[in-house]
Order: sequence, then structure tokens, then C-alpha cells
Amino acid sequence: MSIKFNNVSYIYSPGSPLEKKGLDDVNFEIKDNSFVTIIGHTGSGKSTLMQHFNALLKPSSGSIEIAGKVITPETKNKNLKELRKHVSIVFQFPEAQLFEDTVIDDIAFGPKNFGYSEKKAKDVAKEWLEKVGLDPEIGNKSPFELSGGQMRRVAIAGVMAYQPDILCLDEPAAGLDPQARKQMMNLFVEYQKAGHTVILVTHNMDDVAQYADDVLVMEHGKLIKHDIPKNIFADRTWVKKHYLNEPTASMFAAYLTDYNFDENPLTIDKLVDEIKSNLRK
Amino acid sequence: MASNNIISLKHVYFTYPNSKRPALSDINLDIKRGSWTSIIGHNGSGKSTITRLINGLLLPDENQNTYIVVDNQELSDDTVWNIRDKVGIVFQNPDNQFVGATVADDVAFGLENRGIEHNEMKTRVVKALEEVGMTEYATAEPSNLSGGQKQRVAIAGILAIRPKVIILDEATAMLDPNGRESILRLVKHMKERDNLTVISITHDVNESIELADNVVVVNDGKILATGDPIKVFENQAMINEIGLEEPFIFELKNKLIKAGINIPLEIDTEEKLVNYLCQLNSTM
Repeated sequence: MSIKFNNVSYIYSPGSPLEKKGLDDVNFEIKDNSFVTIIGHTGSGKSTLMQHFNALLKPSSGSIEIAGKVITPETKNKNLKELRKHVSIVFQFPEAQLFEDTVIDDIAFGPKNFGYSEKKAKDVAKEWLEKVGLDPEIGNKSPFELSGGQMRRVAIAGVMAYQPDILCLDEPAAGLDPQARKQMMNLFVEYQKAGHTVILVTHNMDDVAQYADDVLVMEHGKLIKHDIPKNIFADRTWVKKHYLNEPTASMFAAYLTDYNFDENPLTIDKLVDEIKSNLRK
Repeated sequence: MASNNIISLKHVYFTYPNSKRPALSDINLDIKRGSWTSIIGHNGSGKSTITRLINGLLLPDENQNTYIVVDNQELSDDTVWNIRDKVGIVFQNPDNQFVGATVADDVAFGLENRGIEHNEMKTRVVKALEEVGMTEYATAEPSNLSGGQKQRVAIAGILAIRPKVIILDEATAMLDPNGRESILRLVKHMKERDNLTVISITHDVNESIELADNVVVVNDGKILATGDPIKVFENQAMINEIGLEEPFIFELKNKLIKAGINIPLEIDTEEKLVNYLCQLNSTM
């Protein structure tokens, strides 16, 4: 059940003066159970791409194979519920979508919507409240009494609680403090290891270096590179040319001009190893 | 007597309504005129609450020893409007702070509120948009802008009021790295040109090291440490304990030491570490 995009293009407001290409002939295949990151600067098509994963947007041309379904320009909005149970998207500021009276009801809403019984929905809601690192006691509070970081976690728990096979997230950790963001990233890694696919839109190249198996680089609606992190950052000139940033460790390595690196170090531990082996030579 | 400190907080306590525990207790803080101060701390530590007390958006708990002075004026019912003209805040989510139908209208909003005369208002709006590099977007709809552009417009709205203090309340947290860097560069330029005082609330310790003269660490409603960023961040145990990240340069230095590479104590900046490591390599 891999994800496959075949010649996918998407045009915003076709035929109007505001017509704009959102995606331009995008082709790729993602293996099941991988940790994928989508990078590219603002307006490059990352979010447009993500909205195709569960057919919130449908291609203007081309086709998408995902979760055992094929989405084409002709796909009807009917019958998409099953797809959305398997593929879920968490947008930026998901906390803005909280609405129930209590935290538990809010988390249970998604599972109930996808056919869980009242009791089962509340049980998984309690389970996920703890999994996202929140105190079970806040379950009966109103979600609007929580801090921004807590609200964010409640919103994410609400999606993870029905365990979609493919979880797509747009900058889920932006604005959180370092400890909260580390917890959240660990949560996604565990979710992937438990047999799901995680797709993350991010600007944080350290996260790309540390977590991604697979990276999609977008620019002007085109997929300009699809590779593992090591190869994405291998060519410094290419990275610069496309206004991307490097992971912090590799930026530091660039200053050590008289060192020979076997491989561009993308994480701090790799950097330490490389420095050590240089000094031993 | 004009003070060297543009902001002084003494014995400030604050408790949110319906809350038993104070969100801030006994905050004492002096901020030098023309300085860049970073306030750091994890989510919910109280750092944003401090800034909302500075311009009277929140009022401190009653206490006869408490006072808040901004630009030689003690904050009170009589001075609060005056003080708000001097302190501008840029918030994290730009979408929450737009009111105008066009970019120019939005920048004019604060001026209109203050009853600035129409021609003067027009001049100031044009100038502020020019300063943030958004002139060509004057008639654009704010919703069509990127996050970084929105923050530029928010800053223009503040510059138009000609404040003395700009508070960035995690104003760059939602921006991509290029957007973040360009906003910080812009604020730094304005600060130097107009001798503005900048207070930046942030989780980004690397930003503090690079830009701040002074860092204030807030934890659990109290000030845990203040001082020169390099000195404060050297206290690795404290930084870890309160859930912040060590600056990259200190983390690297500590990992190198653990790996058996001898790094002298006085190596405390990126430049020094690069030079030291290059030197070490050439003498091997």
C-alpha cells in the first residue's frame, strides 16, 4: 500500500485571471511505513501537495494511488470517508479546530465519526491523551482553558486516536518549546515504528536529518528532488541555489575548511565522530 | 531625572483570574535603553505575561511595593495610553492581528486610533511600509501575504507609532528560516538606526546568543537568571532542567570533550571553536 503520484498537476482557479499552477507534473512513490519529510520554501507547493493525500484537493490531471484507492480528476466526493479514515492531515495551528466542551470529547470526536462506539471512543481518547504527554486530569477540562502547547497536543491526539495508516502533519511542532517539540517528534517516530507512515511538512532541517527516511523537495509546484537526507544535502551549491537551509551540524562543518569529511555530517553526533577521526589522522 | 533603564519592574506579582497560583511572583527587572533583551523559558513559564504587564494589557496584583516604570513614567491609569504609544508588540500568529482590508489600512489603524491628522498619517504609513520593504504591497489584501510578509506589515504598523520599545512575542516562531532571518535583520537595523529597545520572547537560544545583550531566563513565574547570554547558557544543568535546548555551540563543545578532545573553557563562541578546531587539526 505505497503512495504513488503519477503525473499529478493541480491548477488553482482554472480559467480565471487568478489561475495558478499549484502542482506541476509531480511523480513519486513512497514506501509503506516510512518517515517522509516535505521541504521547500513558503509557497513552493508543500501544502498543496499534502492536501492531495486525502483528496481535499483532487488532481487537475494525473492520478494518485493511496491507501488502496485511486484518485483522479473524476473522483467523486462521495465515498471519500473511507480514505480519510486511513489518511489524515493535521494542519498548522490545529488547536484552532478544537470545539468540544471537554478535552476527552474533543479527542473522541474523530473516532466516533469513524464508527467507534461511544465507550470505545472515550477509551481511546483517554489512552491518546496520555500518549501525547498530557496529564489525564485535564481530560475533563474545557480545551480552551489549556495553554497553546497543550491545545496543540489535544488536537493531534484527536487525529492519532483513530490511528490512520498515513498521518500527514504540517509543521506540527512550530512554536513549541524545545522539550515539547522533542516529545512530539518522538511520538511521531514511535507511531511510524508501530507500522504507520508519517509525512511531515517542515522547515527544520535538523529534524529532516534526524528523522527522515525520505525527503521530497518542492519548488514552484514541482518536485525538484526526491532522495534520502544524505543525498539531499550532499551538494552544498545545489542546496543554496534552491534557498534551502542545511542542518546546523553541516553548516558548522562547512567552516572547518581544512578537515576532510568522509561524508557531510548532518547531525551533531556524526559531526563529533568526523572531527574525532580527522584529529586522529 | 532620565534613567539609563527604559523599563524597570519592581516586586511585580500577577495572578490570572480564577487561578490560585500566581503566574508571576516577585519579578524584578531592569532593561537598558537601546539594548536587545531575550526573555526565554518554556511554554507556560510566564514570559509573555511579563510583556503584557509592561504595556498595561494586564495589571499586576495589588501590592504597595510594586511598580512598573516605562521611559521614566510610572504605569498607572493616567499613563497607560501614553506608555502604549511607546511599546509595540508583534505577536506570534500574524493572522490574529490584522484588521485592515488592505496592507496600508492595516498600518494606518494604530495611527487612526490615536487621532493622528490625516496627511501626517499618510506620510507615516508610506514611510513605515518603505522601511519594512513592503511598499509594493500597500494595496494588497493582508490574507494574500506570506507569514514573513505579514510580520513585516505588523512591524510597519508599530514603527508608524514611533515607539521606543519593540516587543517580539515569539514573532518569528511560525516563519521559515529565511523569513525569520529577514525579520530579525530588519528589527536589528531599526533598533540601531532609531536607538530602539528590543525585547524578544523566544525559545531560540541561538537567536539570543547572536543578537541579545542580555538574557532573562523565566521559569515557573520567576526569574531564574539574567545576564550576558554566553555566561547564562554556560549553565548547562539549568538550561536542561527547565526544558530548553543548549545552544548548538555548547552542545557541540560538550560532546567533543566527552569524545576525548580537549577544548579549553574560554572557547565560548562559534568563531572561537572553529578557529580552535582548525588550529588543532593543523598541528596534528
